[in-house]
Amino acid sequence: MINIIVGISLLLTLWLTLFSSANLLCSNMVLRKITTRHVDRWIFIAAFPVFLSVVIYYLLLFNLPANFVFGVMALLVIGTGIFGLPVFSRYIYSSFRHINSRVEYAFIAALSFFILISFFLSLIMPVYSNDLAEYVMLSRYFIDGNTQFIDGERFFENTGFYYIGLHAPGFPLLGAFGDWVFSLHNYGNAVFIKSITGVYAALLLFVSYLYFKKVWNRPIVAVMPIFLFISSYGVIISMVKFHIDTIRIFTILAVVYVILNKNRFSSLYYTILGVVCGLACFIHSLNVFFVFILVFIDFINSDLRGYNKFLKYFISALYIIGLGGIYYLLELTFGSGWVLGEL
Amino acid sequence: MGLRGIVIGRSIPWWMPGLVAMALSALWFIFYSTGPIDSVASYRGIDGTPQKWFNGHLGLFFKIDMLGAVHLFLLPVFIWESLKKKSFFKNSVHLVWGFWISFILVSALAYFNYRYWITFSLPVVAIVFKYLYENLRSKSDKVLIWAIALLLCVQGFNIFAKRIYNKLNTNSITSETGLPQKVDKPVGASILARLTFKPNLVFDFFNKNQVEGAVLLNGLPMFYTHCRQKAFMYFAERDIVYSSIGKSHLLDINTSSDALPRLSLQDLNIQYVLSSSSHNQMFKDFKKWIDENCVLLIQEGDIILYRIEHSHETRKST
Repeated sequence: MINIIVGISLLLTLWLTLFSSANLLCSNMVLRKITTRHVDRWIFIAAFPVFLSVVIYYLLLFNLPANFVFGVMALLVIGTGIFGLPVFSRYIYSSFRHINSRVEYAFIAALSFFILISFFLSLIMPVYSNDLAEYVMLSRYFIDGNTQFIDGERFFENTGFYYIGLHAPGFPLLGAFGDWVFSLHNYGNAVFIKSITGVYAALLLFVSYLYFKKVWNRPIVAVMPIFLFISSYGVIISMVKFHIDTIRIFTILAVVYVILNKNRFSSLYYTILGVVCGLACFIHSLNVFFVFILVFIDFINSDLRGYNKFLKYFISALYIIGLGGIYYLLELTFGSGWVLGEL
Repeated sequence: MGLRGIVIGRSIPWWMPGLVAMALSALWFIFYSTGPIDSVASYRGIDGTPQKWFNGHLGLFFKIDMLGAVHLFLLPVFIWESLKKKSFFKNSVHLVWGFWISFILVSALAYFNYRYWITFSLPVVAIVFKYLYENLRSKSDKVLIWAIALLLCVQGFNIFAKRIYNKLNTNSITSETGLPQKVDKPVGASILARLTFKPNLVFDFFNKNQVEGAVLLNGLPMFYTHCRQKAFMYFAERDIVYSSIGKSHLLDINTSSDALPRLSLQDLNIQYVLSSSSHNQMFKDFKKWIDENCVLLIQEGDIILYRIEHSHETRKST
């Protein structure tokens, strides 16, 4: 029982410091302009861990030692997280002060309870499902300092393991970061990577609620589509079964949200679009196709003309490639060929 | 007033999309799988042409057992809104195009897995709810909205409850060498046992003994996360093993004329096979090979460990 309590506390602390350090970045002059609404801020906070996995990817790609990379990232994130905790606490407190609806309190209480249950399950349930096992194996290799997958090699001679997935290593790298921190405390059961599902499920529901509340201006109306969404068996399974689905869906819906709010972001729109699209691509292959379709549609629909239009979307494309698409380019050119090649 | 007067230039009665949705949902029950043709397809509910279309390519709307019934409303809502002069899609027509192109993409390439349809679920639910709410703003109609939502949730939870009921009533924890047995356990213990279950006997066999030889994993990569024994990923559906040379054929079952290389069990020093009873049921040729060439060592839950008989290697070499 004590192990469970300590484990849940460690998970809470790690996720809180991640979100807290992301929130601290929101006070930056530039970012303050684009995180004016609660929805914007929480999307940025949720995207930050994915951005972290991209940074780790590049550092490993440049052959820096894995322990050094994870150690420095942990120090930076946890350090800034702890430093930013008062700011984050003030933000949470000011958000709660504006709540005047019992429905909203009940919804937040239910989400908090769901996260606790999810953390509990992350601690007690073994790695069992096929896809999760593959991600866990990759993340363990990253933790052990074996970065051959980053260099394009999929077969691991010592165990015979072969990674057959098509996706960029965003999810296992994020899991590796958290589990590296956990390994310092002897929690070796891939706890953090399992907790990603529940955390991003809660974020998906919470951010959706904030958006619907903005649209309909009534908490009880905002919570109804959430209730309809989770009333299906498949959605509940995707929120509970440890998998990549919730973070995948969150990142691609973040892209849709950014496109919907194009006018509000004004001159920063193309940068923001490129960033969220790139991060979405770094999580899952299917997002690459969705991103391509959505950006293309947005390009056709854009009011810009001529050289200016091409320049803006070229900048977006650079961000998309730099923050996630690069994995697929490397796979297509120097690796297995991704969806076009034989694995 | 006829149907034309209702449709053009006026709000659509709230019950019309619901009526259409319920009629469409009846089609799902008509075309539900009537028997296995392909085991994997049957498991996913897409065996047979009607099932493949309704549960597969159009699964976003008709795979009600996993996605609930709300998505059914999207088609009539979308059609009615498109007929109106002031549609709430008017400011985001390009996103509507993006939605349908993405739908076609998933329908063509990723229809076999309901998880990819869930990507569309939140936007679809939001659109359907927005339609219902904006068309029925009067106080009495709000009661009707909650009634509709409640009905949909009841349908969704009914399917969910049915699945939970089915799972709680089948539990197969076996003895070390026995066949699967149904064990009646109290609900509480059953849930915790199922949550924390892992085949410890199998893992201990490799972790606590000096075992020679590699293991052929029939789609069970979780073995790697619990054991250090060398193992190779294998997919019985297409007789493909993954090794240092990539994909290759191994057991000469499901013979195929593709250009993949062939390896033997000796090449990879494979002496054990780890599979599951559900996989064995799905892949009959593989099960037949197992029965002819392997000896059952351990069966724990759904997981089965076999040892390959050495006589198989002798037969193969002569």
